Parts: sequence; structure tokens; C-alpha cells
Amino acid sequence: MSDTPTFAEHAAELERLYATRPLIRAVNFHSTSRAKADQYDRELAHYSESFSSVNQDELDDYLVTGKWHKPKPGLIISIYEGYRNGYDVLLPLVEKHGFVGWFFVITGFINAPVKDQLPFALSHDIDMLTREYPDGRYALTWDELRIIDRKHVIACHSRSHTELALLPRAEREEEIIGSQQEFKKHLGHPVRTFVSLLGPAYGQDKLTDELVAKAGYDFVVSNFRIQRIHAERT
Amino acid sequence: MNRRKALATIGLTAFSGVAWSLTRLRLLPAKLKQASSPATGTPSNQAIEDRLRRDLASRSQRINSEEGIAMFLACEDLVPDTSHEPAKVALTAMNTSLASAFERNADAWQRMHPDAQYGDVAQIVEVLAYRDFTNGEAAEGL
Repeated sequence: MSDTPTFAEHAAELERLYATRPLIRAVNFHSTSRAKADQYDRELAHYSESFSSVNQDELDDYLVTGKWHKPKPGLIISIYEGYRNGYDVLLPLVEKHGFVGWFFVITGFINAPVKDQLPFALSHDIDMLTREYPDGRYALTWDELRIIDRKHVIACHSRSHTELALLPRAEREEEIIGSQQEFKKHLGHPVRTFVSLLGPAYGQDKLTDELVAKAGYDFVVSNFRIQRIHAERT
Repeated sequence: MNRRKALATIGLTAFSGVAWSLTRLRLLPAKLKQASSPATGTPSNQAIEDRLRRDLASRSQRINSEEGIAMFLACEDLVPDTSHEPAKVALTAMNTSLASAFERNADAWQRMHPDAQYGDVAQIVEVLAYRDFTNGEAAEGL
């Protein structure tokens, strides 16, 4: 007998979450190609009419109190993987429309030499539909991340975009704790938010939970939840 | 695997959720057979299914890896702390409308797909979020 919940069980669990937990909206971007910049501009303009930005302190307060203190509901703009076009194309639009970008970064992608970035992406489930950079650099640089870090959120999306539950402890430590050490080294501080491939929630895998807590992350983002797991508030 | 694919394979539900789910599951067969009543002012099952099919079809044209995918996230404070009131005291009308809309559409999905898979729920959430985002915080229109 399979341990995977049925559709009905999963639907019922999600319905319970929606009925009983404070809610927040998110829009998840991945690669944001230059060819679609006008579309992103229109969408963000539309969102800005109804929603407001969310930073980590505001999220923390919302998670603790369940109360949102801005006139318009919060919208988290999530930008996954660490694509270069997140900086070149989307970031200026995010700022133009007054939002905070949440950059979920795969550190192995950032650290890959330029010549290896495309192969890294293709072998680590990082979609590369549009290949718009003739110089072959598809990932953000640490310099760009330091600039983003001044006004936006840098978050950890593991080191190699791997399903953590399948890894032995030592490799999982590298994905969760090792990547946090890289953020400390290059940004000068730890990052507060973690999400892994397939987005399991905190509480669904004991070893991953232990390592996420040990690495000092405050928030775990998963497919349908944001969880506050650490009490230290800034 | 992109984010959209990942949404189709999320992990196991928490124990409390499963317990709650089992409670609801006992009601599901009866609900599936239940004909909607025009007298209640609620949409008919057919109307819910037609709208769901339309919205799914419109969303299927997207290239997910280069689109912004709307989503709702439930917020949970797992830190034991007695210095504040539980967040549940601040639940809003959005909770009711989203949970209700999700239930209607999940039931519709199961009528349309008797072999519905566990990961299919992500498609329903995306449709509801798309409606909400399109209308701009109009959860009552879900």
C-alpha cells in the first residue's frame, strides 16, 4: 500500500489549511526572458493596484500575529533559481512597481564557471528554454546578489536543486548548511529563508528539519505554506 | 523539473491534516452525488465544472518556466511562544471564501477525473489564484 496521500486526502488537507491559517499571495517566476519584459511589466503594474510588497520582517510579524498592517494585502514576488535575467529584466520592473523581490538562489548555479552554467542548469532541473546570453553567463553573480541584497530578499534554494529526501546526511548537510555558509561568506550574513526542490514543508522529513534548524533559517517556504521555525526576530 | 512540475509531487501531509482529511473524506461520496440546488443561489455542479475547464484551458497555453505563476500560501508559526495570541484569531473572509472555492473545485475535479492524482490539487490552486489575481483581491469571485 502506498504512503502517498490520495487526491481527496491532499485536497482535504489543503482546504483545512486555507480555512484555518492566515493567507498570503505569491507569484512565482523562474526564467524571465527579455522577450517577455513588456508582459511582466503589465502584470506587475496590475498587481501593484491591488497588492503591496512584503519583506521578511513584515512576513515575520504576519506569521506571529496573523495581522497584516498595510492597506493592501501582501504579495510575495518569488524569483526562483538565480537566473541572470532575474536581475537584468525582472528586478527593475519589481522596483518600478514598488515590490520586494524574493530571490531563491541555487548556490551551485551561481558558483558554476560561466562555461559550465548551461550544462549545470540542464543537469539540475533548471529550465533553459530561452538562451538569450551569447556570453554563456546565465546565472547571477555574487556581485549582483550583493546589490539585490540591499533592498530585496535573498533566500536559499539549496546548493544543487536536488530532492533532499533522497540524499544521505553528509550530502544533505552540504545542500542545507553548506549553502548557508556560502551566503554568509559572500553576503556577509546568513539568509533567513529556505526552500528546496519539490517544496516539502517543515515537519515532513525529520533529518531535513534538523539541518534546516541547525543552519539557522527562520522561514521555510514550501508549495502551499510559509512556516516560521525560529524565534529570533530582527 | 520546473516549479510547476514540482508542485505536482509535494510531500506527505501532517498528521493532524490527515486526521482532519479522514473526517472530511467520510462526507465526500455523499457530496459527489449531491445535486446542486438552484434555490440556494450556489452555482450548479455543471457551471463549476464548465468554468474550471475554461480556466484550465486558458492557463494551459502558458510556458510555465517563463511565466509568473500565482499561488496562495498558508502561514504557520511553528515557534512555541506564549507571548502572543495565536494567529488564528485574525482569520478573514478570504479564508472562508478560498477554502469554500477550493472545496467546490476539488469536488468538481474529482467528478471530472475519477482517477484524480494527489498532485492534481496544484492545478486547482493555480486556477483559483489566477482568478483572484485577475480580479485583484476579489476572493468572493473565486
